[in-house]
Amino acid sequence: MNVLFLTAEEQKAFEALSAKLRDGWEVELEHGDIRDDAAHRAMRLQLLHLHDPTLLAFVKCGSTLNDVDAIVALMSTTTLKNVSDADLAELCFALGPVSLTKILGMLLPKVQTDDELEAVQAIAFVRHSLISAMHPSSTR
Amino acid sequence: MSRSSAPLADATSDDRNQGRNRREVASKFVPTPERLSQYLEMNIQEVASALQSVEGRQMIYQKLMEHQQDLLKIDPLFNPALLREQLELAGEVLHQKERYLQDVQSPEKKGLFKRAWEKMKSFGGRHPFVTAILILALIAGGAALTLYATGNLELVATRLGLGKMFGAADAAGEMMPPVPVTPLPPGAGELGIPPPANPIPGAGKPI
Repeated sequence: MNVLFLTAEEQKAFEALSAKLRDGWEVELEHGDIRDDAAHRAMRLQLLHLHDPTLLAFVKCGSTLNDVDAIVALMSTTTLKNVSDADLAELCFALGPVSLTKILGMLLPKVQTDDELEAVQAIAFVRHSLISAMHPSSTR
Repeated sequence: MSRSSAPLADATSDDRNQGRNRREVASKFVPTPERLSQYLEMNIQEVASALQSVEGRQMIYQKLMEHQQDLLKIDPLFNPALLREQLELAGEVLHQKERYLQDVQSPEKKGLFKRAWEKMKSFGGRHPFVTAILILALIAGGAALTLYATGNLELVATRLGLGKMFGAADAAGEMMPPVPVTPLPPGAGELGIPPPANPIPGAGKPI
């Protein structure tokens, strides 16, 4: 799994990385239709199913906090370590391809290690699946 | 003074331009499979299946319209035209979700996704992906309504490094809109369905 699905813009950021980092990666153009709108995002949220105890406990804890500092502190110390794959898949669907593209846009130019590039690959891979599912004709 | 008590200073430029510092999270009827199942006394899988066909959506629409007066009591802004749009949207998104989950669970890609999930789980706190996912979970769980209403959701996101995501074109509310509260049907009332035990909006058996 050394394929990176990147948009033309992202490919420019990838090309700016060191040759050592780029070595061993096969880049494929993400030519799918990356678009989204508020109505679809809202409906995806409505259709979100969370079952993971870790996430439910986090939400329960978060619901007791109204203070920004407290929420920031809670979120800073929370990871996805024990979250189920199914819930992570659900959350990625709710997040959608545009949000993932924005995250990739933040991460890719800052990549300095193979590990970070693998993180980019993981997000881009899920985005590719989302785009295919949301706009199947655009990825054929 | 806590930063959270000064939302205007941290509101998005759009908010400032419009002179708003508070937003309202509308309560409205959103035809999710869970809610429709509760309102119409139908199996949730039947509802999900019906939503994915033109005939099924028409059937659901007609059934709901038989209870229009009850729905208006529950949701004063209930609008038949909007209901049709929402049913279409729900059907479309359910199709998309089904295609996506089929891809995720497909034998040929299951291993690849497993590696992707494991990679994502290894991200540390304050990673933009983790932050975005956690904010989403809070919104979906209804835990972020106060933060959203006071304009502080952007502040949380910015403090956690998502400023670029939320700063320019998209306000947090647009990127991750709050989940409108869909009123529960009256317990054993007009539509005769007791409210569900699960407090998470949209929660239920995966489709």
